[in-house]
Amino acid sequence: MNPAFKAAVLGPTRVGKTTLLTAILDETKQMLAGTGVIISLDERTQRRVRTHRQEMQQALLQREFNAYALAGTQDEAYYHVSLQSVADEDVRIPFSILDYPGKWLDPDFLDTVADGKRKWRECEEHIKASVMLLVPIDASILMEAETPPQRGAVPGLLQFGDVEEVARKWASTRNLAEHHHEPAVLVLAPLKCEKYFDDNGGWGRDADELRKRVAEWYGPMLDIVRGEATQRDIKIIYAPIDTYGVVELMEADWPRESDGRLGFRAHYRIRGDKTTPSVKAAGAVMTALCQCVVDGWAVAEGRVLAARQHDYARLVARDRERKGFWGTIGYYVSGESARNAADQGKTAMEITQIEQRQQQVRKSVEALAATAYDPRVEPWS
Amino acid sequence: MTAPAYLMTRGRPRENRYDYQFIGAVPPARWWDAVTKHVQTTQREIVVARHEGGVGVYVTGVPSERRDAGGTPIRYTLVLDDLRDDPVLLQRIAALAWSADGYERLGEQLDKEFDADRIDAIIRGDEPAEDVPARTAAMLDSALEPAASLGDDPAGSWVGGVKDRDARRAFLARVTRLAAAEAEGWAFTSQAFGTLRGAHEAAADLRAPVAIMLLDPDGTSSIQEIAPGKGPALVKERRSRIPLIVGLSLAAVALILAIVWIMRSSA
Repeated sequence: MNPAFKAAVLGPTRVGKTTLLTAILDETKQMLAGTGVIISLDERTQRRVRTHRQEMQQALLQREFNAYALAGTQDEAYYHVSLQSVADEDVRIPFSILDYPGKWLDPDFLDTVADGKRKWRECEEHIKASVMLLVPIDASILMEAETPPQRGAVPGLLQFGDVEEVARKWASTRNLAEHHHEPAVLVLAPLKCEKYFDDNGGWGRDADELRKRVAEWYGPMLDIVRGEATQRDIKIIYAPIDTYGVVELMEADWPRESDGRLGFRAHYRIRGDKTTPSVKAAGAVMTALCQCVVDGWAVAEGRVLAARQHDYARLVARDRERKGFWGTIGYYVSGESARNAADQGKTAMEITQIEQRQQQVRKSVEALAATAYDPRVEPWS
Repeated sequence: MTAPAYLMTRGRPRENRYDYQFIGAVPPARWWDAVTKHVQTTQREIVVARHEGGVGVYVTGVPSERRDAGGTPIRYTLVLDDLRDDPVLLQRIAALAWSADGYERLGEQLDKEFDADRIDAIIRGDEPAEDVPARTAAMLDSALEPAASLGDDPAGSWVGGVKDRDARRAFLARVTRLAAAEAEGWAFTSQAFGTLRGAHEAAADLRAPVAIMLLDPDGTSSIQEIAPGKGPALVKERRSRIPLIVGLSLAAVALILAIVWIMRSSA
């Protein structure tokens, strides 16, 4: 089995990280229909997604929708997901996607949590090893901030400082020579943006304004990432996503919190009598991830293949080398000859399997990677 | 005297400093951490384990009537670090696993004991909180149902479903045996998985005897043994073949010398 491709979500608390992951998995399932590839979740991931989907459903059924009412994440969670061949379940590409409580980004908060720093260090290691960094953005905070005090509250609410710091570490790790052969993709994913688009049941005409504000507010983070990645390219994708689709922001409040800072509350209504989400553009994330795989997988598999070929060549050379009279007796009598023959057979079989897997999965993943992005989605570099 | 009960919850304001944290006192060690990947910490789950400090119980997903400023329901988590001296209380807490009413009642009692304003004030640092663990422990007695009868606890690791009476009674027996140092390892509920395979994975990961109560089992609920997982393939210790080679070589030399001697003798 290949090691899993890692991806991580980097966003503040209550932005909707878990909802985003659920939407990505749901839309990917639809995109893969009829391709001969399925998305397979391990049991724990499957249960986590199911629980979250039930909570989303309940939230929609309550009619007075509250996007912030879902239970937040209390501990880190790894979503173990594979793209798997229908014909052969051993043919699969595994992904490991990290979700964690957004407040862990805040070093002051970590000081109050027993063992918080140790757990965050583990998360950081995963983030740094990730080929994709997914940055969910609460679009309603960006778009509804109109007055100077509201605009002044945006960096704190979206934890720009903390997000930038983690993005910097990710980019600098991706820049190391040992990671040059791996892909690096940063996805900016505005969420809760149903109100601003007219392509998923709404009448919004603010797509350009949203793009402009994301570019403006997240420009410094992109500059940091580009500045750190001096030796390589980092692909940047802008993907505004509807995780619910059937809700629409009606009113935004900016109440003064107990510490004197402005908070943000959003009130949503459900469009019509919809009770199931209508996800939009979430599949772009998996498409981008598959493009990473196409770029990086051949290299990873190639390394395994090269190692096996080297093993095979070594075994054959040992078998054929001149060993002399006593050496030959020792070679046969000690059992090395039998072991060598068995190892040759095993290694040859592994080489064949790797080559077959390369052909089968590559074909399928390439098809997914070639899927056109939703028109909302734009590559920014 | 009952062991202190550490209480984790959050305040109503949305700022990070009001987020989930232990109030009043923090358990000296997070002994339950190893199992959190095998449970859903935001749901109803109970974990009992022997650890360096004794036999602890971790109860999570206890509902509160409180909502945070964004409308999100707030939960409680309780940790009692050592109940070796009070196995009956441990059994009563463990029995919450199959009592949604008991969970609700515990949440109501906690809400009554610590009202929303007080919790916010404690987190702000405006009110003393040293008495929180003692008060939490003291109110437990009135919130829990009487102890249920125990069953047979199969040795080693096993998994059972919450709907199976024998499994429930075995689970209580296991936590009692953990408290009495007659068993090692973990007893915990799980909503994170519902299959025997999931249980095997958890047992292999924890590397200790486990008794797992599935709260949402896929398929049968009756107790099933979790055989020790397939560890790394055993490598048979290979005996050195050097004596054999030396012996055979000497025999070959002797044979050659013998042939040479016979040929010379016959010549």
